[in-house]
Amino acid sequence: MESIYQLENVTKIFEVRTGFVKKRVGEVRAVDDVSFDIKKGETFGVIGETGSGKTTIAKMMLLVYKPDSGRIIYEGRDTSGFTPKDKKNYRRNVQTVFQDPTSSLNPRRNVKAILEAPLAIFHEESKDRVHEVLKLVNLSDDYLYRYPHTLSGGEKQRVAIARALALNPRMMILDEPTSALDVSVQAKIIALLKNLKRTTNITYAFISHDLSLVANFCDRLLVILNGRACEMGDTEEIFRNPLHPYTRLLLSSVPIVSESEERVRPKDVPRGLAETLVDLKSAGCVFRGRCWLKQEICQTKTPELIDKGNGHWVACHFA
Amino acid sequence: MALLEIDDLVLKVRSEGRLMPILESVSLNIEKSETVAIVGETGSGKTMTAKTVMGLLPKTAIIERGKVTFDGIDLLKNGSSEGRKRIAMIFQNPMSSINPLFRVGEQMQDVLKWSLRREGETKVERDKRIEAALESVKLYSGGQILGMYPFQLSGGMRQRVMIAMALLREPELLIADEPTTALDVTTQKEILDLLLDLTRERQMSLILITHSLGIAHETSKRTYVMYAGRVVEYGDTVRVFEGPLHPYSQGLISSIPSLDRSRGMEAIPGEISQADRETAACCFMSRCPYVQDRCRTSRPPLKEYGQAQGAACFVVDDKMGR
Repeated sequence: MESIYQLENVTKIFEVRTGFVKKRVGEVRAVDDVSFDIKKGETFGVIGETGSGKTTIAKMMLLVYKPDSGRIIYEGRDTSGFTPKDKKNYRRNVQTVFQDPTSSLNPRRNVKAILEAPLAIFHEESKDRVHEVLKLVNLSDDYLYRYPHTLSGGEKQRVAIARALALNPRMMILDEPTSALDVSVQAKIIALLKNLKRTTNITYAFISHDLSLVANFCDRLLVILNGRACEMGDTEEIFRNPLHPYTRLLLSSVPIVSESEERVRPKDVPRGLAETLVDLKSAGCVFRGRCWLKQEICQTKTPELIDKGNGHWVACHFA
Repeated sequence: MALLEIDDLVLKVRSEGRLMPILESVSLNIEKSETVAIVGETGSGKTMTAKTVMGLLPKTAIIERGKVTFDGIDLLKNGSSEGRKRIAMIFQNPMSSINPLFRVGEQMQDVLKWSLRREGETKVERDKRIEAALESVKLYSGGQILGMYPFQLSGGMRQRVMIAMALLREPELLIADEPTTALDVTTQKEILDLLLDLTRERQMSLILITHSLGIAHETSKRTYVMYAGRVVEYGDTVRVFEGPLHPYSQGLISSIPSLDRSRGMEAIPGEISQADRETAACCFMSRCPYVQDRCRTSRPPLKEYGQAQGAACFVVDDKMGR
């Protein structure tokens, strides 16, 4: 299958500055040497905990941040070489839905104005399109003149999805689109996104911290920790045979409700892992502070992401 | 006798000249050293139930009916503070419960100096009590933590500090309101394991309020499911999850994503409306697949069926009642 995105050794470093003269006191490697590609028409999941760099990856893909090194290639073209015109065109094809719909919808505009905004930028006929996209997200025309504060969380997120769909994008970057919603509403949004994919063949990049959700939604997965890729592969394969100890820790931490899920959870993860702080700037595995399998080599050598067959990649010296 | 007993609690909140129903005849009980989960979605009334117990209701709230008793002490009457001293509560966002301007040690000293004052106790003795509390949440390690400010701590550590502060009270009942919602899964597991260890060591009762069914399933012995300010189902946790009776619990359980990919997520049709909260009939009637005429006119009572499992539903009553 053809790739729509290729990220090659992408690194993003944020400087830490302090004091009156903003002296540089350190740096944070938010994303460190991450490579992956997203195939056309698939749902690619990026999963990680707070501070893992997953949102930074999304922002780089949206051209909000420039990578400090490495390349982001969209449909065969390096995004760093984009002219302003290319960028405008790119943003038409790559849309996004954020975590909190309350802060991503303008409270002073009604639903109609919200949905017309992206169409107006590209001088497109909006009259019919607004009705079409509302229908796509299962909202009736009664919603057109309502304001965001009169909508429930689920309805707001539907409007945000409708706005993203207005320009018929090829790609949608979903940054935790359901984490502010209740579970029964979440189920509806996920069903809606799956349905849209069937009808429009759109590609999704889905950023999440929820493993059970990713299990139900994504075709392929990337697990990241502290800016480094730990494991990548088909969702099926990763859940059946998680190779990286961090993935195993994550899987064993998910609260579950049934016996059949118990089988998915790895059994070899010790309870009550103590975390020792490690210097993330020096070489070594990013998980060594918590890893129960760590050896001498984990302190000195950073493991590379290696293909273990079947497109299952893992960055661990002992996997 | 149950340690905490809530019986037929009806709570309303005055808003824009109207009385909005918040809790409709909520009944709940918890035994000594038992762990009970209250699950429900946003606005189901789970936090308001806990706040009634703690006496933390807003000024606009009116208790119309009902009784809350803790170990025989009526918590809604004068003299309730004797009972409340034996209950502690921790909240969802530890950062808004800890004062960001004071070091951890100072804040804990203050609790012991004022709220939990013991006559003639010296600072050294208070330090001992603080040390013991921080030890039991595995955070003491030489006392470095005492000199730290809340912003220097990670989310998990802050929640541990909150738990340690709650433990200073030596509570017989701990109410944890969404204690892990703001945390990562791996940290979440640590905090839940810690809470369970503490309840075992101290024979403490625990009410865990959560919107996550997984957390309820993994930690509690019994579960209450709330919807629109009412308890729609309760019972032994394993039974509630393996054989939910109420159509809402069934829908809720099938709407959660599962690690087992063969189990899909099925959404509950419709959305909860204000009318559902205010109705005198069944609060789930507008979304229920089994709705009958009588569900639209009268309210199904919460009834117990066999092995300590109960539900408020006419359809269930027909099936199980005879």
